[in-house]
Amino acid sequence: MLDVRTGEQIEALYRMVEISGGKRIDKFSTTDISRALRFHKWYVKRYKRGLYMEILPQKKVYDWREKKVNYEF
Amino acid sequence: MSSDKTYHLSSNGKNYIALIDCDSFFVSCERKLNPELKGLPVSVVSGERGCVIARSREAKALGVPMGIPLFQAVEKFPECLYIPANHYAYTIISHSVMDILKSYSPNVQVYSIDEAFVDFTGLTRLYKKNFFKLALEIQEKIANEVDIPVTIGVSTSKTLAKLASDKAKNTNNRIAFAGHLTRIELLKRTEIDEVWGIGRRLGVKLRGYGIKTAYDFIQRDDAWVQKRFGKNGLTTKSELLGIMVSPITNEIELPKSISDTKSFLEFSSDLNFLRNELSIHIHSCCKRLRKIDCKCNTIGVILKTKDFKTYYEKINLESPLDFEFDISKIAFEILDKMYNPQILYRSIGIVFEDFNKNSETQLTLFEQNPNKEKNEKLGKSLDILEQKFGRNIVRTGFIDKNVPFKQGFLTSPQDVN
Repeated sequence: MLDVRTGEQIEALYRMVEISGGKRIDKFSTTDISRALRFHKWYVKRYKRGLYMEILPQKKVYDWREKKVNYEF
Repeated sequence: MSSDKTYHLSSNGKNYIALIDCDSFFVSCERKLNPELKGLPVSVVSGERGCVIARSREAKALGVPMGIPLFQAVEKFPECLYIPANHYAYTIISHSVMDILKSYSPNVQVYSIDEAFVDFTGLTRLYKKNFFKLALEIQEKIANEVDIPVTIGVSTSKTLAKLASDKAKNTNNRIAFAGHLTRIELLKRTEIDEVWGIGRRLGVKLRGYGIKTAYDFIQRDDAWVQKRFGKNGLTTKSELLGIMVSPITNEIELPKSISDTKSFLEFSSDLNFLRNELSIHIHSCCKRLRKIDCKCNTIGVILKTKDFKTYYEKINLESPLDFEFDISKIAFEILDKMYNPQILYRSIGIVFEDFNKNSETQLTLFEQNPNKEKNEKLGKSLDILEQKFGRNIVRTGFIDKNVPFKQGFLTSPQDVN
C-alpha cells in the first residue's frame, strides 16, 4: 500500500476476517493484496459469505535497549 | 446539460460558483492507497461493529445500501469487500485536493471533507479558458496528482451548483454547467426533495401543496414561500433562480459541536477500560479544539450499550476549557454517574459544545485554575509532539496501564514513522 504522507510503497498486512454472530474469526492474513483478493473470491464462492478486510500498515518500532529498528504490523 | 454547450459561456460580469465533489470519497481514498481495489465492489465501514459509510460504483450496482450494518452486509452482499475507515488518511488526502483548488482561486469554501465551493468569477479571463475547459483542467489535475475522481457543477449560486454537480454524476465527463439557458430545463427535471436544503419531510409538505419539481417551487411568489417556509425557503428560491444569496466565504465558521466516538472491539463493562477509551476521545477532541483556537463551555459523555440504548449527559462549565486533564476530571465524573457495572457497553464518546474563541474569552476576576497558563503550554506541546512523532505518542489521563489499549493504532499510516 501507499504511505499517505510520503506516497511511498510500504508493506501492509491484509487480514481477512469473518464477522459471524457478533464475533470475529481471522481467516487469512497475507502481505500480498492480490492473494488476499483471491482468497476473498474463493471464500465467497465457497461459503456465500462476505469478508471484512483489515489493512494494517507496517510500523517502525525502535528498540531502545537493543538499539535497533524492528518492524511490526 | 451537455458539456459541449458550455464552450461559449464566460463570466459576463456575473458571479459563478463551482462545486467540486469527490466521487465516493472514502472508497476513492482506499483505492488510491491500494490501487488493486480499482474496479472491485468495495464498501468502507465505520468499524468491525459498524455500518457501511461509503460504497464504490460497483458496490452500488450490487445493491449495497448506505448505513447497512456490517454483519448484515456480509450475508446479503458477499461479493462486496468491506474495509474499515481510515479517517486520518482521508483527511490528509482531502487537504491535498483542497490545496489544488486553492491554487486556482483565492475564494475556496471547504464545505466538507469531500466537497468545496470554488469562486469561478473572473477565472475564465485569468486562465483564458471557458468554464468547461477550466473544470476539466482542475479535474485532470486532481486525478493526476492526488488520484481522486471529482465531479464538478458550475452555476451562479451554491444551490444550483450543487444540483448541477448531482446531475453531472450521470454524465461521461462528470462536469455540468447550469447557466441561463440550461437552468430552467434542469429545474424542471429536478424532484423537489433533490434540492439542497429540502429534506424528505419538507419535500412531503411541498408535494402537499402540489410542488413536485424545483421549477414548480420557483413559480410560487415570494410572499407565499416566506409565509410557509420562512427566510430559508426564500433563500432557497432565490438561489434556484440563480441569485447568489450565500456567497463563498473563506472564514472558518466555528463548529456547533466536536465529538469523537468509536465502537469497542469487544463489549465491555470495565470502568477502567471505559475511562481509558474516553481519555483517547477527549485527547482527540482537545487537539481539534486547540487547532481552531477555541475553548468549550459544555462537555457531554455518550454511552452506548450492547443493545443499542444510548445514554447522554452533559454539563455546563463555569469557565471554558481546552485541556485534556481539566476536561477528563469532569468527564470522568459524568461517566461515574452514568456507569452501571451490570451493563455491557459497545461504545463511549465525548461531545464538546458551545465554543468561545480564545481571543474573545473574557478574563475572570477570580481565576480558579492557577495552572491555566501551564496547561495551555502543555496542551500545545502535546500537539507539537504528535505532529513530530505521530499520533498517540503521548497518552493522557490513563489510569490503568494493564487495561489493553485497543484503539488508535490500527488504521493510522502516521504510526509508520
